[in-house]
Amino acid sequence: MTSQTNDARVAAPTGLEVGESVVLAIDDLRTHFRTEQGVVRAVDGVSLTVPRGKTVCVVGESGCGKSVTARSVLGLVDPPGRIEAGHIWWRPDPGTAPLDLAGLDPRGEPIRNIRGNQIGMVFQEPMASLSPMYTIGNQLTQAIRLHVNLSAKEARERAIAQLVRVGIPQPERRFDAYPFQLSGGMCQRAMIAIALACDPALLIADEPTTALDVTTQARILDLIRELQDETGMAVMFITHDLGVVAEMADEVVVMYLGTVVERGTVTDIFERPRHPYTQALLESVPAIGRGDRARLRTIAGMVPHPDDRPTGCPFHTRCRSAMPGLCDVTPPAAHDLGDGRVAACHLLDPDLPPSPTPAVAPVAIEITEPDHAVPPDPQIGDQPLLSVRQLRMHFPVTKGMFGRVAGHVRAVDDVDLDIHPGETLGLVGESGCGKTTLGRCIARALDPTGGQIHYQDPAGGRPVDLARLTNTQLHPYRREIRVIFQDPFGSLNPRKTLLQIIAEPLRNRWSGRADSAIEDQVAEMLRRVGLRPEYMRRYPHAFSGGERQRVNIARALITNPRLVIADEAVSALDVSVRAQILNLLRDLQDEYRLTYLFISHDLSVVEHLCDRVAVMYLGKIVEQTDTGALYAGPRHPYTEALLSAVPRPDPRLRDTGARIRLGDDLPDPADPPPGCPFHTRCPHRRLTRCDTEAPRLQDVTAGHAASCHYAGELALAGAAHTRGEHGA
Amino acid sequence: MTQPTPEPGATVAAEPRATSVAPPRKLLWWRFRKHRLAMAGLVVTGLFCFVAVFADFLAPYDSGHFNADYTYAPPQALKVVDTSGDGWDWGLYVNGYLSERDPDTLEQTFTVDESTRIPVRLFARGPSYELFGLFETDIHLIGPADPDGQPMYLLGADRLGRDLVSRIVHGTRVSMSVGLVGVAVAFVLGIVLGGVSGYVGGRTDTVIQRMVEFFMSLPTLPLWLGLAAAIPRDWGPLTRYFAITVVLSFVAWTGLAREVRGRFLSLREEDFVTAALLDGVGRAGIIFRHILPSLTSHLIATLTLSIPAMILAETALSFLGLGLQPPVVSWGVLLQEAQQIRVISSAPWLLLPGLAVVSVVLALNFLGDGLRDAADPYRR
Repeated sequence: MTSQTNDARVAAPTGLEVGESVVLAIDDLRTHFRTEQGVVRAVDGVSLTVPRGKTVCVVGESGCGKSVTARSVLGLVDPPGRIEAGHIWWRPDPGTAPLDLAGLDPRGEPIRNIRGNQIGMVFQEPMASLSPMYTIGNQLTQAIRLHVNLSAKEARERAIAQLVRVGIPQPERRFDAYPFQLSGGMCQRAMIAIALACDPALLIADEPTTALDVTTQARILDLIRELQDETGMAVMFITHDLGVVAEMADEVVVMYLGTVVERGTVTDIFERPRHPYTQALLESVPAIGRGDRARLRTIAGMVPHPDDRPTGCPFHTRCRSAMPGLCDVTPPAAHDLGDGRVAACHLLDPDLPPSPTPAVAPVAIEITEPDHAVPPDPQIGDQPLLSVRQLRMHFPVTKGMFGRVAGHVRAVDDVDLDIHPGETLGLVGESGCGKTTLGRCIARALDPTGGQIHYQDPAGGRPVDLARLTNTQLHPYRREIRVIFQDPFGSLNPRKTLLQIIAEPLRNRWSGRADSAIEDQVAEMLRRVGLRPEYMRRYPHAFSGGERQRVNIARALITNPRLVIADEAVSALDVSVRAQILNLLRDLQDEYRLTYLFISHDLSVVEHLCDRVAVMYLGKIVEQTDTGALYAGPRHPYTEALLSAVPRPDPRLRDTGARIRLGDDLPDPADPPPGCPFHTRCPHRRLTRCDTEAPRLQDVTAGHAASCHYAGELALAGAAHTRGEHGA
Repeated sequence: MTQPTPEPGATVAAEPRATSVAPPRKLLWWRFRKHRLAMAGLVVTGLFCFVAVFADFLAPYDSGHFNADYTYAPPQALKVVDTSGDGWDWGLYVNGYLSERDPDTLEQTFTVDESTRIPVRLFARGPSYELFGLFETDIHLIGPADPDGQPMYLLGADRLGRDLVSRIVHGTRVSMSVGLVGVAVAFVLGIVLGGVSGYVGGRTDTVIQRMVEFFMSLPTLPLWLGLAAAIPRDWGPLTRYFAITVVLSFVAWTGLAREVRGRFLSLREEDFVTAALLDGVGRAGIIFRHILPSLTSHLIATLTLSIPAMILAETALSFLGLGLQPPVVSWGVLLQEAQQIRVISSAPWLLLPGLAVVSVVLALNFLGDGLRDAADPYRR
C-alpha cells in the first residue's frame, strides 16, 4: 500500500496530487473500445479530481465520454471497452493510502466491495435501473445485506429508515411496492436510497434527472444536496444541462470528445470561461427570465463520432478561434491557470506568441440579428388561424376479461385555444399533462372525443371544423397543418431515402410516383434546412440526430403549410445542435410566414421562441398569455412553481429567492381530483373553494387568462431577472 | 437561385462512408456476411438446391433402376489411379464385387474384388431423361463407362439393388420441394391475417385471434391420418401428399400470424407511421409501403426457418408410412427402408439419407438464424 502511495505521487505528471482532501483522482484515464470498425477512444486522457464532500459536475454533449468515465471508475465498462491506461486513485478515508481502481479486476472481490458500498451510483432511467420483478424493499435490503452483515429484520428497519431519508412518503407501504407502482420521481428516490444504503464516500450520479420533469428534477436535486450536507459524501454529477450544473456544482469539468477541455470552480467556469468550447456552450443556452429573443449563438457542426476524431485539438473543427497549422496538428496540453483551473487550449499557452483574437474576449463573429417579429397577415387580421373549442380526448380504460370500460383518462379535457397567424404559441406542462395529445388532436393524428377545431381556410370563407372531417375529407388540410416530431430516430422510416421521406406528401395519392419536379422541390427544401441536396438519395441511418431533425423539418415544410406543430422538436438534441435548430425554426418562420404551435417541457426554450404561452395541467389549460407577461408575473400557482423549478445557468442565483417545490406527483388523470385539479399540490390552496369548486379559465387582465379562484389576489413570483446584466 | 450561404450551424457532414450511402439491403448483406455459420449454411443450402434442380443429371441412374443381383451391395470406393499392374494407370474406376451365398442361411455377402475393374467416366451415357422437360438426353455427370456392363454403387445398394446415390439425389428434389407450396400458402395467410389483425385492431383483431387459438388447438397428427385416409385412392402418391400439405398449411399459418400481428402493433405506434398518416397516405399505402417493407427481412428469416420444419415433417411422416408412398423417392421414404435393426446392422449405409436430412436442416437453420440477426440493420 505504501508503495502505491509513492506511485501516486510519482505517476502524476499533470500535477495531480492525491492529497488527503481528495476522495477520487482520475489521472490520464484512457478507456478504449476495440470494435470491428476500429478502436473507439471514448475516454482519451481524462484527468480530474473529486474533493472530499464536494460536488463535481462533469458536463458535455452526448458522445463526449462522460458516462464511460464514470463507468470506468466502477469497473462497469461494457465489453469490448477496456481501460487501456491511466490511474483511478480512490481514497475513501484520509487515513488510508489511495488505491488504484483501474488496476483492479472488474469482476474481482475488491471492486465489488467498493461498488455500492464505498461508491454509490444512480443512473438516468430510474424505471429501467430497478428490477421490475422485485419490490423496492427487496432491492434495497439486498443492497444493504450485500455489504453489511445484518439480519433480515434489521435490514428491513434500516431500509425503511433509508426510504424516510430520501423523502418517500408512507415508507412502510412503499417498501412492498413494485417499481411500476411508483412514479418516475419516486423510483429515482428509491434508486438514491439504494445508492446511499451503505453511506458511500462518493455518489456517482449519471444524468439522474434527465428523464424527469422540471418539478421532479428540482426536488431530486434538492434531495441530493440535502443528503450531501447530511453525510458529507462527495458527488460526481454527470449532466448535459448547464442549468443543473449551475445549481449543483462546486467544481465543473467540461469534457469534449473523451478529453477534459476545462476544469475549474463553478463561478470561474460560468463567469470567466477560458476554453472556446466552454464559452460557446454557455452562449448557446437560452437562459430563462432574460426575455431575450435574439438568435442564439451556435457552435458550428456537431460532435464528431469518436471513431473519426480530428487530429490535433479535438475541438478545432468547430472552434471559432482555431489557428491553422497549430490547432489541427498538435493536441493542446492542459495549461494550469492557477486556483485549480485547467484548460486545454493553445490560446492559453504562455509560450506561444499572443494570438490576434484572445480567447478571453467574447468572440463576436456571428452577428446577432435583431428580433423582427412577423407582422400578422393583413388579409386575415385578427381572425385566429385555428381556434379550438371545448376539445376533449378521452381514452377508455378497460378492465377485466371482456374489456369492460372502467373509466376514462381525460388526456385533453375541455381545451379552448386560439392560434393567430404568424405567431408562435408555446404549450408547456409536465409530462402526462396532455400537451402531446392536444397537438396530435389538432393535427388529427387522433380522433378527438368531442369539441371543435375551427380552421380558417386561406381561401377565405367559413372556417372548417377539422374535428368532424373524415380521413379523406382531411386530405387538403393535411398539407396545411404539419407536424415536426420529437424523436429524430423513430420518426423517419429507416427503409426510405430522404427523397422518399420528404416527397411523400407530394406524391400522387394513387400512382405513388415522384417526378423530377418534385425532386427539385425536395432539393431546394433540403438546402433551406441546411442539408446538401446530394443527400437526398441517402437513408436516414447516415445522419446524426440534429441532421435528422432538419429532415423532419423539411418534411413538414415541403407542402408549404400554414401551421406547424412542433412536438418537443428540440428536446432530444444536444445543447449546441438545439441552438442551431431553434435558429433554423425562427428563420423559416420569417421566410414562409409560418405559425407554430410549439409543444415543449423546456420553459427556457419556450420563452426564447414563443410569442404567447399556454400552460397545461391535467388536460386543461390553466394559464394563457403573452410570453413576457407570463414569465414576469404568472397568475396561476402552477405556472409559478414551474418557473421556479427551472434550473438557471447562473451559479449566483443558486441561493436567492424562495423556491416553490410541488408536493406529490401528478394525480391520476383517469380520476382527477374534485374542485380545482391543482389543489392537491397547490401551495396557495385555501380551504374555502379550491377543493370543491372548479375554477374556469378567465381573463385576469386583458389577454391574460388563468384558471385560479384567486388569480387576481395572489402575488406570484415570475422568472424575470432581478440581478444586473452580467455574464451574457 | 443562389445557394444560400450556410449559417455556421449548418451541417457539414464528413465525406460519405460506405455505410452512409448504402441502401438497407446492403447493410443486411454486410451484417449477414460476418456471421460465419450462416454463410456456411448459405453455401450448403445452395448446394442442395443445385442438386435438387439438376438431380437427373447428377444421379448416375434413375430412381427406379434396380438389379436384383446386387441386393444390399456395400459402397464402392471411387479410385483414380490403378497401381495393381506395372506402373500407374490413370483413370476413374471402381472395383467389382465377388458375391457368394451362404448355403445354410442363403444370405448373400459381397466382397470387393480388387482384380476386376469397372471403368467409370464423367459425362457418361446412362438412362435417358428430359432435362427441365425440354430436351431429352442421356448424359450423366458420372457413370460406368459401359452403360450395359456392371453397375456401380458408390454409396451401396438397397434391398432391390437400387443405387443409393441416385435415390438420395432424386429424393432431394422431392423432399425439398414438396412442402414449399404448403409453406407459401401458410405464409400468405399468416401475413394477411396477422397484418389485418394488428393494423385494424378492435373487433377484427379479436375474431382473428380467437380463430388463431382454435387452429392452434387442433392436433395435427390425427388430422394428417384422417386426411391421408380421406383423400381419393386413385390420386398419385405425390398428388396425395401435396393435397395434404396444402390442407395442413391452413392450420400452420397461426404462428406467423401472431408474429406479424405483434410487429404491426408495435410498428403502428412508430412516429414514422403517424408521419405517413399525416402526409395523407391511405391505409393501403401505410400497410404496403411503410409497414410491410420494415418487416420483409424478418419475414424472409421466418420463411427460411419454416422450411426445415417442413422437411422434417415430411421425413417423419414418410418414415411412419403416412406421408409419401414408395414409388415416390424422398428422404423419408428412403429411411423407411432402415426401419429394421437387422437391416441396419447388415447395411448401415441405408441411414445415409438421414445424414442428408440433418445437414440440410442444420444449414437452413444457420441461414435463418443469420438472416434474423442481420434482419434489422437499424437496431440501436
